[in-house]
Amino acid sequence: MTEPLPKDTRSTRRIIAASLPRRYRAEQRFRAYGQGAIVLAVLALGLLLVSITAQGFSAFTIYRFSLPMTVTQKLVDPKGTNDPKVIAKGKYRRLIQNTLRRTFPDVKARKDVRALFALSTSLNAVDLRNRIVKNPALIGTTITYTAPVSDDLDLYLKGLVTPRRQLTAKGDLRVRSAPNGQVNLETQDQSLATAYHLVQSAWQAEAAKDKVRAGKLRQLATTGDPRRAPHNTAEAARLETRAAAREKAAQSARLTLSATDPSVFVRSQNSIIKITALGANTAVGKVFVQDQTAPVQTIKDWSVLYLKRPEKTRRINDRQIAWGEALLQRQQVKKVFNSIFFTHADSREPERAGIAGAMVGSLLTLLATMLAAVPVGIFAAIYLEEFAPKNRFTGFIEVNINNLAAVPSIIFGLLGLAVFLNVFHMPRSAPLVGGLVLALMTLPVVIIAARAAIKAVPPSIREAALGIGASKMQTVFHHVLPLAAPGIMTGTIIGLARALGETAPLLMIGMVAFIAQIPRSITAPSTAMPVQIYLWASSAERAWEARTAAAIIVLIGLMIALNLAAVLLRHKFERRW
Amino acid sequence: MKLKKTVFGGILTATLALSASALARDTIHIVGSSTVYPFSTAVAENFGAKTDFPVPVVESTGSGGGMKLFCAGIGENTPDITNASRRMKASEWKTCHDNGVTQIVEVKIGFDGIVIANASAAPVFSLSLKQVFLALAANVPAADDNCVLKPNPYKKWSDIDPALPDEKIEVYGPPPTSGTRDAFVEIAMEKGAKSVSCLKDLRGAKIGSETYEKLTAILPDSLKKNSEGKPVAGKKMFKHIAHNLREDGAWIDAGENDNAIVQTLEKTPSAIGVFGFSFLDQSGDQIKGAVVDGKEPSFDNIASGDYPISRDLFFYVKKQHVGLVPGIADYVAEFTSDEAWGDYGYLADKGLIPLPEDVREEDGAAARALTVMTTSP
Amino acid sequence: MPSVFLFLFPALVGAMVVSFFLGKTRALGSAKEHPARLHSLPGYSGYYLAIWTTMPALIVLLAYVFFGPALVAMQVRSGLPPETLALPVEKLELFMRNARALAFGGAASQTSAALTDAARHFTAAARTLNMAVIVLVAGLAIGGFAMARRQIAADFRARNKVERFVYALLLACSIIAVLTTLGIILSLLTESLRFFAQVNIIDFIFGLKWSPQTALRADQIGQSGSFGAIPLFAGTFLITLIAMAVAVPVGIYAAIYLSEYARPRARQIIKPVLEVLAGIPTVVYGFFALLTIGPFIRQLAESIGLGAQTQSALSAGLVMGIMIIPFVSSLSDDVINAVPQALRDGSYAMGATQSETVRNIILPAALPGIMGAVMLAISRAIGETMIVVMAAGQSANLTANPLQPVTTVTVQIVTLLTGDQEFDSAKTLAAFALGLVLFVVTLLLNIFALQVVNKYRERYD
Repeated sequence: MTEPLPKDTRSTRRIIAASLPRRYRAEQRFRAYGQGAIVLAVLALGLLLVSITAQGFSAFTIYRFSLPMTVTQKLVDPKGTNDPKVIAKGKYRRLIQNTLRRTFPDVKARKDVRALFALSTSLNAVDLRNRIVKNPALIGTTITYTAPVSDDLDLYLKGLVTPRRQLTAKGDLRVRSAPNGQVNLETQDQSLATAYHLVQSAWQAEAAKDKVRAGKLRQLATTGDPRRAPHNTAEAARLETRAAAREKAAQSARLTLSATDPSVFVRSQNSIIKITALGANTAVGKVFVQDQTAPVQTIKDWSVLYLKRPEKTRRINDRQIAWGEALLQRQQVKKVFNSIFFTHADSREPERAGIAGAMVGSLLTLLATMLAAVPVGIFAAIYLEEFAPKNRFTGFIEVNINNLAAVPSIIFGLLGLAVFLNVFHMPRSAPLVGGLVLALMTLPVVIIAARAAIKAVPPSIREAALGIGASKMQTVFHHVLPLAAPGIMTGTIIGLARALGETAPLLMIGMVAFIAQIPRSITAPSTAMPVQIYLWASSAERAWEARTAAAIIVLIGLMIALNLAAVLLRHKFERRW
Repeated sequence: MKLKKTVFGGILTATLALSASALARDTIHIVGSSTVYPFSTAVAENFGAKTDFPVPVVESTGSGGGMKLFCAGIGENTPDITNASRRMKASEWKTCHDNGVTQIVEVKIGFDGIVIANASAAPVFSLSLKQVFLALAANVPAADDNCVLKPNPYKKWSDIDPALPDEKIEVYGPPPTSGTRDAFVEIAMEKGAKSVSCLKDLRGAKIGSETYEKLTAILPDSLKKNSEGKPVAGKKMFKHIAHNLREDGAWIDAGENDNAIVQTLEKTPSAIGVFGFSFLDQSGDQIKGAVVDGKEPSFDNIASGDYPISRDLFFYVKKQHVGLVPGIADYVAEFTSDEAWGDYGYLADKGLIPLPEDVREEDGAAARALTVMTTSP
Repeated sequence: MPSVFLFLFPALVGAMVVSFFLGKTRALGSAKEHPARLHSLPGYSGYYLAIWTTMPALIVLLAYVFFGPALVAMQVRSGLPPETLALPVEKLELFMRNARALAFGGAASQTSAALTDAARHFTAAARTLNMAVIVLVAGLAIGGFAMARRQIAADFRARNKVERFVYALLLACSIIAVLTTLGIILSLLTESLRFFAQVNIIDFIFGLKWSPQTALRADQIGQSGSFGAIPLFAGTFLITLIAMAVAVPVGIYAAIYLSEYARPRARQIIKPVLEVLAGIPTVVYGFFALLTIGPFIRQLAESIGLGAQTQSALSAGLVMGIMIIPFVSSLSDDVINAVPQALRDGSYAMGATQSETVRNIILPAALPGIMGAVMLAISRAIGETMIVVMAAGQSANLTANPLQPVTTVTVQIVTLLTGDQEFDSAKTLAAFALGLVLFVVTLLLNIFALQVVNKYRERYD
């Protein structure tokens, strides 16, 4: 006896069949949303890592001087005492300055001399001094001066200051000296003409921009605030005049270049000429760097250098660029691995700044965190998991620990400030205090991880131990704990990795000072890696940007290493019961 | 028995000696002005590298904040040196002396201009000090010859003068702990207020005089009376009007970190910032200085005194700490060496405008000899 | 002061080692050739002896390190002449500092007969205290040693005693967590109370203007100093909202995909990748927001004709959202996985597609848990500091425009406290009041969320 089929089965089927495509489409859509979410998250991660690597990569290399330097006795040890104390007081800064002047002997004007000296920070004298104090035999000899070039030159040479085009020429270039230290250039080669057109189009673009603004102002003058109308009209007129003048100038056969225009250089084997007026085949320039002089020269091997960013808007001027290019050409400046970054502490000069101080600070801080948080955390976990009676107080402790794990980290900083610094008068900026604050923050993480690991040890182990007469305490310490150890360690390492990346609480306890020395003890003033990143990120100079990103790369590398260690540990010792 | 006593006494004495040395700080602690901070850290770094002393710890707390810490007393927990972008005030001198800080060495290190700057992407600003006053004072007179004060009505620069840009007035400036703030209100705002004729008259007016009565008739009572209900002299009233900055959002106290202001400006082209010249010098590619009263803020203009808002920079040494914390005298010597503050010194690279050579020689010698200030500034 | 500690502490450690071996030997000796007769392993006797020798002495020593200086100062103060005691508080503090400096060889800014006298008192009191501590520590160590040593015998229940001590130690460790919470509450509360003594609490919580800088000297004219925290709350709320708008949909969809659709192999790869996002330090996100996202958003906004700034609520919120994605996704993943298979099977048996099952069966079943996860994420976003410090700005704008810079509670705590060391001004104390608000809000969110999550995680177990 089967029940009769409902009459409208077929129609129900039809309805279902008809709705199927829609439902499948919905299914596809839903699935795509899920995939989209994953792709979005992974993309975000990728973008973050790529952008930071791209920004930080350049900081791992640095341009370094390699100049012949005569260590003159007069400046270092005038009386020839050979006494290290006297040598330590020598005039090393002057020595470096003399070396630079000897490299570019034509530099005479006071302003230019200053610019030249700025290529090597005065702090470099310290390394030189230490080198000579250590080895007084160098006095009177010629040594190779190696020191990082100034951050501005470094950035320029890395191509981070201005877009730079080099136009290699094939034809001859005739150079004739003219009055006022100027030279006249003449060539049939296309490269000069290319530079001419580049400047021309830059000027036309500027004029076009002015015109657009003027148009906007004219419109505003009719529609906007009537009080401002005359001013707007006047401003528009000014812009239009300027644009017209620019356009006219751009049409002339010879373009006069000022500090607000792109810079053009002509460069040959042994000289660099800054162009002040540029035509398609002729130019007027000033010799910035020259090895030998002759009234008329014909140069075969030369090129034109076009720098888009005007001199006025960059921190490095045209002469410094010319010197930098010359040094590079003569191989007196070389690109090397930036070892300073890994051996020095913070510095006011980006080219001399490193993360060694912050790394040691982080290490000391982490040490204090580990010593404080790990034993306490494990003991607390043992108590809660193995011994605690199920009562209200235990419940309270558990709720407490779970909440503590979610308290914002900055609150721990406030606690550290109020308790460790203000009540116990511990030293400011010390890794000890930082470590203790981070320990309080890490404690719940360690406890939770250790509890999970202890819980994972099967009861049979405990029962067996108890069965052969071990006490509860012996069971825990001799059998459960060793088996839970890998799990506990994994959790602990992850907690410490988090502490390593934490910044906010350390700001509260004064670990944000400028500290130019690698800390020597756990109570000495110090910073930590994330704080150093924060400090550099808020510095104004461009050169810090790459260094910040490089420090981030190192920090993330360390964290990945720690996490990897945790994963490996888990794989090696993981036991399935 | 006697032997025991000697042994115990020895241990106790050793303990006490040890405890004193365990407490002793061996790192120089410097606080104070954020304007002097770049110079101070540069000297500290050179000093640390050249000598065997540890690199001093420098904290940027603002001139006023630094003075407060500096004058809090003598001992390990107080700083040894404070930097200031203005001279010590008489009130601070008194606090110092009340707290036992009686031997203070004053060292003038150079000049600095206060610049009004905006992002280098934005158009150049050209302001008069009067316009600065009108834009930033909390209360301004209704007109040049009408001293009826009203809360500052100007929202945009173009409200003050149609020739100025049509942008919201938004000025990031230093907080009260900063010496730059003090110098800014004392120089720029006062000069600006003086160029309003009726306020200038008010400044010279004596209580009870005809001018005084006429001018103050329209001023609000809250300004005219001090806390004891007595009438206030014209000079003081003038000062109050000139120094009182807006609180309606046009002036924003931007904290002690001048770098942060530079970054904010770069990112907010319509905003303007107030800070020391050295920051302009170091961030010339991000920001540019406004022309004030027709003068550009340049090295030469400030050194010659043509630029209207310039002031002196100082640092103060607690002589009582010399010997307590090692290296203080050497730090002073490093700071006042030609290599540091000379015309070609490394501080000039950082944007310090050096003192004239003769002044340097004289002041430097006095500083190295740790000559103590004898009279209140 | 700590030098007594430096001298006594190693001595105690030495005593601990020595007494352990002595105890062990004694236990073995008492068993007389029959170690099996011992109640406990001989090591336990060693531990027992070591504990009694060092622990009481150590407690005294630690108490001395923490409270010794205060005790000495109290002693000296009680002996001061009344005219000195009548000095105002800060003068009295200066006096004490000078006296201490005179006594222990620091730099004193003044000298006077009263000071020399007080310094003598200081030396005397310190001497007495040090002497007392040395005697007490030695006495406790020797006494403890003697007492415990006498107890050691063949039938002495050393293991039970040691285990009781270890038990107490374990308990003490687990109480540290409670003490931390207590410490947080107490420190925030006391400083906040000092703040509210200066600033009305109503003005703080409902005030619309935040401008915490006040005049420093009497002869300076500063801002009037207003502590209205509404702009900070609004900024925090705005950024949290943006972060959640990113993290919640992405996180939940990712969790659904991972638990319902992804093959085990894909899951194995994607999950750790998402977790990397959670492991990146927040200061890195801040840098990313400041230098990559901020300028990008600004250009984008300007290209469509909107005024925008690099530091904006939007860039901070977006980046914070990215940071929180793995937080939402892994918690939601747990919750979704806890939904029993029977519910799914039932749904499939009815002919539902996978997405219909997720939408109509799984999500409703997991919803409370997911809500809990979201709430935890919100509490995380509210308390996040570095991203907003670097990317959101400092100006206390009361705005709902995400392209404007806003400031948050955490940003202000950092700004108010970095570089500042004075603890008498409303400005510094305000940071603690803000901290208190932050703590209370996140605590409430956490407690509630944790309860919900735990409840629903277990319901289907």
